[in-house]
Parts: sequence; structure tokens; C-alpha cells
Amino acid sequence: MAVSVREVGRVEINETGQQTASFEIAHPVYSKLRSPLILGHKSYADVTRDICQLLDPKPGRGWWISFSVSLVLLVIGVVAAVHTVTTGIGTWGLNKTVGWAFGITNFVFWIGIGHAGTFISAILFLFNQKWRTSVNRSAEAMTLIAVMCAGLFPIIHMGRPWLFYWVLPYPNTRGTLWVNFRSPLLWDFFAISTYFTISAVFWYLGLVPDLATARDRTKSKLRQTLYRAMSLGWNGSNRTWSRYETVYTVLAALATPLVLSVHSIVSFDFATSLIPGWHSTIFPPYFVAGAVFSGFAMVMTLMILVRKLMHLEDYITAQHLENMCKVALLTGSIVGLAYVTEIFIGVYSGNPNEIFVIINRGLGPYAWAYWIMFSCNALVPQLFWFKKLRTSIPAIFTLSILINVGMWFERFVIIVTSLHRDFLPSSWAMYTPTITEVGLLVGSFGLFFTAFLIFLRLFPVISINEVKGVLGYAKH
Amino acid sequence: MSNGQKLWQIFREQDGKPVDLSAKSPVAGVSRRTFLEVLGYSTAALTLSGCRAPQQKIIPYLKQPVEFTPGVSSWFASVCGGCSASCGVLVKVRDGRPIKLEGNPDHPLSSGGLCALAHGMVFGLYDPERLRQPLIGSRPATWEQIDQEITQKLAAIKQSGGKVRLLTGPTTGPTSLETIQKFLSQFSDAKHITYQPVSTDAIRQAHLRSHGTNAIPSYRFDKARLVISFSADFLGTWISPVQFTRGYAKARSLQNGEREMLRHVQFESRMSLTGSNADTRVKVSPAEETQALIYLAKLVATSNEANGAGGTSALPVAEQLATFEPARLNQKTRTAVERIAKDLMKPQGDGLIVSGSADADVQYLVNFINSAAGNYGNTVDLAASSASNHSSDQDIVELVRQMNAGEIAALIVSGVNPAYDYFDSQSFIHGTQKVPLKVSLNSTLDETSSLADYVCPQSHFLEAWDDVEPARGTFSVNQPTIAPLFQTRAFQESLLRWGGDGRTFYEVLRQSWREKLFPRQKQYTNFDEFWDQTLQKGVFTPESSAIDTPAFKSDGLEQTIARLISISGDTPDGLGLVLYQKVSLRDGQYANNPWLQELPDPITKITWDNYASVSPRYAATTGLEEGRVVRISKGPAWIEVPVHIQPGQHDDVVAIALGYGRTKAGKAGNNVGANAYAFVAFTEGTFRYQTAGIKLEKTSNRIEFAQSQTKDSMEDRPLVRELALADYTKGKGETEEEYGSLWSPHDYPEHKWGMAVDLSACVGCAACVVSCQAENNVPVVGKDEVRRRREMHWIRIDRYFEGDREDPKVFYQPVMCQQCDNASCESVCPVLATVHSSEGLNMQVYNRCVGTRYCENNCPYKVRRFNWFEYPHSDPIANLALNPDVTVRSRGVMEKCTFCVQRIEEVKIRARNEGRAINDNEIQPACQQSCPANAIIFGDLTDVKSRVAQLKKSGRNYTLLDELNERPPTSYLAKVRNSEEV
Repeated sequence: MAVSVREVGRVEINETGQQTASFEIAHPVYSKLRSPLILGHKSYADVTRDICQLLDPKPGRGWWISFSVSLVLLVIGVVAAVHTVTTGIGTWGLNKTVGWAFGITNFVFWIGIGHAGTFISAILFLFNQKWRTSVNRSAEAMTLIAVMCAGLFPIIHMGRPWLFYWVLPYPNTRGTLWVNFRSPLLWDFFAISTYFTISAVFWYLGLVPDLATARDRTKSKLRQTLYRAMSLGWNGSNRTWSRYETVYTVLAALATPLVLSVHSIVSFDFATSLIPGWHSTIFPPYFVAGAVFSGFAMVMTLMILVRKLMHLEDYITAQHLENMCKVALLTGSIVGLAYVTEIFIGVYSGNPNEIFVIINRGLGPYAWAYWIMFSCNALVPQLFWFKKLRTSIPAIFTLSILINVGMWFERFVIIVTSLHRDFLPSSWAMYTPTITEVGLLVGSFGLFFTAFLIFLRLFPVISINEVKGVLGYAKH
Repeated sequence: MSNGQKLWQIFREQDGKPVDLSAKSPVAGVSRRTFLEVLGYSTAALTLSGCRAPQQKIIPYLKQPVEFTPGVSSWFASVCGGCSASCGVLVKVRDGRPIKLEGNPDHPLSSGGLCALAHGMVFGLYDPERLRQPLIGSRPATWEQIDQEITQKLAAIKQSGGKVRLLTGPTTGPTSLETIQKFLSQFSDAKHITYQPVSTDAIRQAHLRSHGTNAIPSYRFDKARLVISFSADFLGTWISPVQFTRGYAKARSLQNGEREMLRHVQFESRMSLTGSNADTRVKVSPAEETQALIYLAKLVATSNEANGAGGTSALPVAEQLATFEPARLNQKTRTAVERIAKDLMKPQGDGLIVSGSADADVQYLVNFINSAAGNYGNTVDLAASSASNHSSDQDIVELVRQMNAGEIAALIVSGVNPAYDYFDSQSFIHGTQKVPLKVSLNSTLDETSSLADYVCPQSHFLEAWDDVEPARGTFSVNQPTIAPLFQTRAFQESLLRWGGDGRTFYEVLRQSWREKLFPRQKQYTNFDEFWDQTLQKGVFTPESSAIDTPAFKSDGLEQTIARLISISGDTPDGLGLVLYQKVSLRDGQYANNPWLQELPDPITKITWDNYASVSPRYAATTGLEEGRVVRISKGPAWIEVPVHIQPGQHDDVVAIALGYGRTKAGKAGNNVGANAYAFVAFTEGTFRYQTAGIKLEKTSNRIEFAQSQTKDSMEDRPLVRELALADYTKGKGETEEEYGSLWSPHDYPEHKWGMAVDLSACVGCAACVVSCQAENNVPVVGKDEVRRRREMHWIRIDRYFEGDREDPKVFYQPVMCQQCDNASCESVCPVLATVHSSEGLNMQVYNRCVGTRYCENNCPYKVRRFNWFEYPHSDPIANLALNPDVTVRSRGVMEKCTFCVQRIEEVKIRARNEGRAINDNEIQPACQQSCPANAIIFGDLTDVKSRVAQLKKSGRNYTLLDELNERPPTSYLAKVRNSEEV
């Protein structure tokens, strides 16, 4: 029995751990001075039971309603995608001047969302932020799903999506005709696929001990088969744990630079081009901060929903949310600083095209989008300075959604306002999305929530083994 | 094969000579290679033949026609039948079908240029909506049937002595006229009436009065140093725009180190293509325009030089004119007139005054000024008078009166459409009901044909023989380049049949030339030789005896001036209407041509529509917005059109283009825009295209134009650079800044293609746009897609208005792919679908493109075009117009200008076969070839002596957006205005 072995192991460690200073440092959450991360005086058995019982029974009404709504949205997206692929990109509102708009906005937006998961699981792990244990599992799942949503857009937005594999540098018989390593789109492909792979492996590895727990507890034959296969014969032995933790740390260390690289490279799509408003060296850090910012906002939105839906208030506490608010405050401030820097550098450059972009963004026909972006991303997170707002669940929920809206508009503003009025005024044009593009955006949310809801039903939503590690003393 | 018998030949690309396969075999018998080839071909043949049962027996070229190689185009000199200017063309025929018209460089009038309309004619040939067989009523019939019935009816008329009228457009061909006369001569009362919906009859009438000759003179812009135009749109639509643009551009050229150029002053109320190119454009209302002309006449008549030069009998009018006071003219206009009057009298004989007025009195006064300034015989040539625009407005008005009176027994209409474009079309339509025999020879079931009892569709001019004499002493033969696609027949053939002449028109034509024109030359003694040479050259100019310009007759000039003074003074203030033609659709005959419909108007950049242009000030004071539909009415005539706010338009004038609002043009042309012909008036013997006292009411509707450019201003960016002639002659020009590069430059071992676009020469006529469209199979996308800003043109003409919106300067800038050395599109494509060639071309590989559109975003010139949909190529007839040398692009791929790489390759292969180097100017992209202004120069930059390389050394040379360091081999030569300062 994997779980009991794990628990015994913990007991032993706890009993002996008090004697060594290094143990104290390694597990600072055990300090009695800290408020507990998990409420409700849970014992190990409670945790196992609480999390595992979410899997077996039939889902509740809340889950079904959410799932139905998500599925409807997904179907809308599928219809829009089929329409796009069968009829052509002409079904979108793009034109000879604005070659990218909703599609790439959605792509960057979802990639950004995908940042929080790995940030929480890898970077916070390396920094020993124990509060991450309650949210890392779902945050990582969110990352994977978001990256999947993101990955669809570059394919759908192609003129001939059925040839998307030409972007892959696979061996072929076409002689010298290969991919163009100078193209940021190719870098994108590498960055995103690497990120997705590492994130998936990391997430899966973290799941293995919990899958073993679920395997041992579930009564459903089907689930048993699934969990048995997926838990890779986990037996909870000391050696297994030791190897597991080594690999987990190594993977965390590997995943950390990716958090920074993915969005840096996505930002190269714009930064290495010559369009004023895109051609900017500030983009990599600005995009990474923005991505973490939007990712945390999305995690907060999701966690608030999940704790309500799955009754996990004891595990995902106001303290968790407050911590995330703090991260959002920091990254939001970086984003705000980036906005101001962009304006300053644009004007300071003396380049008339750059100055024009700044003016056109703030006062041009898409000024409304710019000011939505500016207020949601630079001003709204400043409200998190107030502890009252940081700890109020409704306030966090509202603000996190506003941040998500703002971050979507950030990408829209960067892409559309730069393109629609570039060098030659003769080509200036306006962009208006079509219903197909809106359908795809809605559909991507449908896909996201549908997949997330399935995740909630299929896998332990909170990392059982890690939460047990932060329960504190004598909770077994 | 073993006995050496040659079973087939294969052709090597290099030398085109057959290679005897059996000779290659070292041993007698079948070589392994040959065996495998036989096996391969026969297997392929067997497999392919199994795919589909052949429905018709086809025979390959067992005997290949002489001088005909599949896959290699042949060129035939012919004549464009698009309008009566009859420019010389070379028809490119590929595998038996004409696919492109190009200007004939040997033609004395058009000298290699061609207009947008002409390029559209190829589409007209393959228009699937052309009639495919004759109709009786609306039923299809055979030619035998129809000939029999018509002949019977005509015989009856012959007996009864009824009136027969043949209504055609301007016809200049001696043989055609002869055929017409011969046909009509069998009737006791028959008449040939020529009709043009937009006529220049006033000029003819004025010359009848001033010089006693029934002619429209040939205007020699190439000889002029000062052109003063009163609303004559001679670069756009007036009489012979290609010829005039050629001459104008020649007289303004600065490409060969010239230090002076023609000066052009335009007085006009609407913003015309011609006015937008003027060095000085004086915005006047129509009444002011007349006063300005009288004022000019006064200054000329009272000038000492005029009196001193003698030759004019101007003195009596000088006294009359001396008392004239141009009360309407403001100081600016007066100063402009005074200045040109002074200049006009200085260099005797190289000024040129033209007027677009349809008032014969105005034209008479113009003749007076031209005569007083000594321009006749120099810039105004009556000897080579233009025969092209002859039509008589009086005649058709009389015809319609007779029709309504029931006096006409038979009406035969050919090539004109009065049921649509006659000013009082209702009375024409009504009149037809009283004509017992109505025969239409039009090629489509248009508004007029659908009223006819018999429709006998004539062949397209590319399918038929014809001859033309567009200017006196310039003869051309129009050769058919394809057998009629449908059961159609040239109108001359129909007339011959009905006149009982059994000969074909070809025989008649040859005989006529043998009898009339062959004796007028001495070079050839054999007619066949003469004929072949004429066909090959495309033009015949007989040695003609010089004709003296008749003296100016001033009888009645006094009354004319008195009348003009009185009407120009009396015209009430208030809104007037000016009707004009667009360079794309002209009078509307070709409204069913989508290439022309989608061609952005050079001034407004609007496609697929006509509109009421108003001045910005008028719009502001009356609260009109762009696209607001207004109802314009005068008396019973009314029209509902959207408003377009046109910078540079006079406040008192609304301008509407004719040629729109067809109802039976076909799929592309029906109900596009609104028909404004109802506002044409018939006054004192001519159709008038201006009218005063109109009413304009707003409606609640508003539309969005399909416009290819919506931003008018350059936003203070140095995109089109401008120099004053005074500064240019002082040597002022651009000094290009040299930027460094991180990368080593490309290696161009053989050629590096480059282009120079002379903005000083370019008049913005947009001929290049349609030429490119025809050459490169550029799809038409339709009004909605243009509205979504997705037009596909590979070359566009950017038009900017600068300065005061009430009186702006206009700039044109053709922009095509600049083929950058440091191309920003190339580096971003993930699949290498756009790459740099060793000859400096930026190549787009369609079948590799996956359509990320990243290149389009990253192109600072925005010249890339994306195939948003699968643009239909489903019509088998329309598809015949496609150029087989250029891939038809599929959905989802990017495309753009290639510098006509297919033409480059063609010349390269030819030069290689002939073992020689490529000559400068031997390769001409479609845009350059058709440019009537010679504004585009293409060539090899590695050859320092090439014209393009030389032009790039000019002080006017600059690179568009050079600060981006894209280093394009395409550059622009700054615009020079003939003025003291910019």
C-alpha cells in the first residue's frame, strides 16, 4: 500500500527531523509561528480521502452545468474552425495590411496563460515556496491545456493548415528545401514544443505517486486499469521516493529556464520584425512578466471556481490566493512599467514612425482597446496593495478576470494597432473581427474549460503527496 | 527502329532542334535507354488513356503549323477596338488564343503605350456572357434563318422606300465605311448615323466654323511647351488618351538630362486625372472656366505680339474683348490667366489650348486662341486630323424624333447602346416600338439588343478583320487572332450578306486596300507583299501630300463671344453637375468587365461604384459624410448615389461618373452604381455634360465604398519626393544616405534586375495595374472583398493629397514588390517559401507557401497579396484568358509582383539560344510595356550602361523607406513640377 508506506516514511522523518538544523531549513513550514497552509486540522488520511473521493462518485450538478456550457462553447469553436479550414482564412476579418489579428492574439494569450503552471511548480519549488503544493497540480494541468489551446491557433491561422508539418524540420526527400532557421515562427515551434514536453513530463511525474494512491483506492475497474497503467508500478519504496524526488528536482531545474524562454521567443515574433510597435528590445522581459501575470490571474480565477465546485476551501485557502495576488501585483507592476517605458522609449527615439505608433495607440481608432489594456493591466493589479482586496474572494475573482481581459487586449493592441497603420499611409486599413474569429476565441475557452473539467474528474486535483508534506506536525 | 526509322522526336530546350534518337544509339537496334523511354511513354499513354473515354477525336500536330511552336507565344500586330482611338497593339497569342494586348511600339499614335481599357479587352473576348448565337426575338436561331428573314424584310423596305438607319459608334475604317455605304446604297432613304454617348462633336462643329473643315485636329502634346487645358481630361479619357499621354510625357521627360519641360496649366471644377498632374491647377466653377477662357482670349487678342504676328483677323474681336471684365474671377485665377497669356504669346506656336467643353461656342473661342497664338500647324494639326471621334449628336436626336414619329422602317444598331446611354433613353426605347424592323449587331444581350427583333452578335475585334484610320493618313488593319469562339459574325459580314454580297469581308478588305491604299505607296510592287508587311508592322502611312492648314475664319466669332460673355455672366450661382468618364469604364460599354470594375479610380481609389463627388467645404457646410446616399435631381431626371468627398473639387460642383448603372450588362456590370446619362442635355446641337441648378437631398442611407486606399495624406513622411524645376536645374536633388549592413551582400554573378519609377513621368492612369492583372492572372475579388481591403493587384498606384484639402497637390506613386536585397519577408518565412534569387529577385514559391502571412506583416511596402479564398477559375471560357506562363495561385498562399519573371526567363532563353547577351530594354515587365508615359524603366543593374543603371545615378533617384535598409533595387525618381518652388 503505497499511501501507508508514504505516511510511515513521513512519520519517521518528522520524528527524527527535529534534531537537525538542516531539516528545519528544508521544511520551514513546520514552524508553529506560521499560519497553517491547510486548514481543518487534516490528518494524512483526511487528505487522501478528501482528494480521492472527488474522483469516484458521479459528478455533481455544478460540474455538469459547467461541463455542458464548456462543451457548447467548444462546439462553437469546432464549427468556426471547420468553417475556416474548409472555406479559407477569408472568413476572418484580416486584410492585405493586417495579416494577423485574433488568431495570433489568442495564441499569445493562451501561451501566456500557460506560464503560471510551470512557474508555480518549477520556480516556486526551487525557491521552496511550500504554499505552491495546493495549486501546482491544477496550475500545471491548466498550463498543458492552455498550451494545447495556444498550439491550435498557429495551425488554424495558416492559409493551408493541412501542410502545417512543413514547419517541422523532419527528414524528407526535398533536398535542400527545409525549414528556415532564421524565422521566429520556427523558433516558436521549438520553444513551444519543448515547453509543452517538459511541462507534460513534469506534470505527469508529479502525478505518479498520487495515481498510485488513486489506483489503490478506486473501485471502478476502468479507472483501476487506467491508474495502474499510468502509475508505472509505483510501490512507494524508499528507493522509489528517493529517485522520484531527484528527478523531480532536476526537471524543475530544467523547466525553470523554459518559463523564461518560451515567451521570450514568442515575443521575438514581433521584436525581430521591423514593424514599428513590434520592433522593440523590451519585448522579451515584458512578455515574460505579462505571461506570468496573466497566468496567475487565470490560476486565481480557476482556483476560486475549483475550491467552490469541489469543496476544497480547506486546501486552497485565502492565504494561497493572497500569495498569488502578491505575485500578480509584482508582475502587473512590471507590465505597467513596461508600458510606460515603451511610451518613453518610443518618444525618446525620435523616430517618427515609433512616435506615431505611440500616438496612434493612445488616441487612434483602437484607443479603446489600448485603454482597456492599460487600465486592466497596469492599474487594476495596484488594488492588490490593499490587504482587504487581496483576501476578499469576490474581489480577487473580479480583478483576476479583469486582468485576463486586459492581457488579451494587450496582445490585440500590440498586433493590430502596429500593423494597421505602418509605413505607407496608402495601405492603412482597419480590422474588424468576424463572427468566425469570435467563434474561435469562444471555442478556445470551451476547449480549455472542457479539458480542465475532465482533468478535475480524472486525476487528483491536488497533489496528495505534496500537501501531506506541508501539513505540519502530527497530522497523521 | 532497328532499320533506323525515326519514330518520334524529342526536343531539347537548348537548341530547339530535333534529336534523332535512333542516331544516338551506338549499336544497331534498340538501346536500353530508348527501350525504357518507349516503355515509359507507352505505359503512361496507356494508363492515361484509360482514365477517361475520349469524347472527341483529337489529332496532335502531325504537321506542325509553320512558325508555331506549342508553348511559345506569337505576336500579331493589330488594332485595339476598345475605343475609337484605335491604338496599335501587339496581340500575344499563345497556343492559338490571344491572352494579352501590348502596345505596338511602331505605331505612330500610341507608340507602344496602352490604356487600362485596352488591357481589359482580352477579358471581354472570353466574357462568358457574350451572345453565343444569333437570336430571333429571344429564341436562338441560325445564321441562315436570320439572314433569310432579314433579307426578306429589307427587300420589302426596298420596295416601299422606307427609311433605313444604321446606328454605329465612330467608324474610321475606309473599308468598313465603304461596306456600310454599299449596304445603305440599296435603299432609297438610308443613312449611317454615328453616335457616341460622350461625344466631342463640339470640336468638330467648331472647326467647321473656324476652319471650314469637318475635323477634330490631332493635338501634338509632344511638340508643346505650354499646355493650357480647360477641363479637358486628355490624360484620362479625352479623344486619344494614350497618344496624348505619350506626347505629354515626352515633352515633360527629364530622363535624358533635359533641363526644361512642358508646363501644364489646368482650369477645372472637378479633380480630374489630368488636373491632378498639372503644374498649376486652377480650381474654377464651370461659369468661371468660361470667363477665364474669354479673359485669356482678351489678353491674347489685345496682346501686341498677336497683332504683330498678323495672320489672325482678330482685331474686330479684340475691340469687343477689350471691354470684357471677368467679374467672376478671383485675383488668383486672373493672375494665372495673365501669366499664361504672357507665356503663350512669347514662344509662338508651341503653346496648346484644349478644352473639354461640349459647347461649340467655347471650342470656337479655343480655336481662336490657338490660331492667334500660332498653334495651328504646330501643336494643333489639322492635316493629320483625328478621324476617331467623329459622331454627330444632332443626327441621333433627329433619328429618335423620327423613330417616335413612326418614320423609320428599319433600325440597325451596331456597337452602341442608346437604350442605356442616350440622354433620353426612354424616348429611344419608346421610339423602337414604332420601328417595324429592329436589328441589333451588339455582341451581348444589352439594353438595346433586348429591344431588337433580331440580334446578330458581332465578333469581338480580336476575332474579326477590320481596318481603321484613327488619324488622317494612319491606316491599320485589325487582324483576327482567333477563330470566333461562338457563332458570331463581324458586323461587316452581316451587312455584306444582307446587301446580297457573297464575298467575305476579308476579300472586301483586301480588295479595298489593293485599290485604294496600295497605289499610295511605292515601296512594294506586289500587293501581297505590301499586305503582309502592313499586317506585320501593324500600320501603314501613305506618302501624303502636305495639306495646308486652312485660314482661321472669324465669321460669327463676335456673336459667339457675345453669347459666351452673356451666359457665363448670367449662369446662376448654386450647385451644378459635371458628368465625366472614368479611366476604367469610360462610357459604360464594358461595364461587364470585372478587371475594369475593380480597377481603383486613379483619383478616388474607389472601385465598383460611381458616386457624387463634392468638395470638402460643401460637405462640411451641408453635413454630408462620405458614403451618404443623396438624391440629385433636375427636372424629371434624378439619381441616387453615395457622396464622395473629393479634395480639390469646386464648392459649387457635384461630379458624377457616367458608365454605371447598367441593367443588362451581365453578371459583373449589372446594377453597379447608378446611371447618370439622364442628366445629359442636348443644347444647340451638342450633348452637354454640365448642368446648373441641380437639387441635392440627403437620404437616410449610407454605404461604405469599396476603396483600395482610404488614407489620403503622406503624414509628413518623405514618400513621394518633389522638386521644383527651378531647383532641379540648379542641380538640387536627393543625396542618398549610405547605411552599413551587418551581413555580407548577396552575390549576383550574372544579372541583377532593377527598376526605376519616374514619378515625374507617371500620370497615374493605372494602365499598368490592368496590364499586370492580365499578365499575371491576378484574380478579381469583388466589391465586398475590396471593401475588406483584399484587392489582389500586384502593382498599385498610391495617390496622396497634400496641402490644403480645398486645393491640394496630388502625387502618384506606383508601388510593386521592391525586390529588396535585405528582404524582411524572406527572413521570417518559416518554410523558405520566399527566397532571394541569384538575379536579385525576391521569389515567392507558391507550392511551398503554407500561408502564415508573416511576410505580409513584415513587408514595409505592403505589396504582398494573400489568397483569402479559392478565387474561382471554374468558367472554361473565362479561363482561356489565363496566361499559361504564370501559375494560378490556390487558396491560402501568398503572392506578389515577380518583376514578370516569366518574361525575364523567356528573354534569357531566347538570348541563350541565339548565343548572345541580353540587350538593354529587351526585357519589359508588363507594367513597363504598357506605360504610356514611360515612367517605368527596368533593366540589369550589373550592366552599368543600362538605362536603369544610368537613371539611378540621377539626382532625382531615391529609395522608398530607405531608412529601413531593405536595399531594394527598385527606386523612384523624384517628381519635378514645372514651377518656381514646391
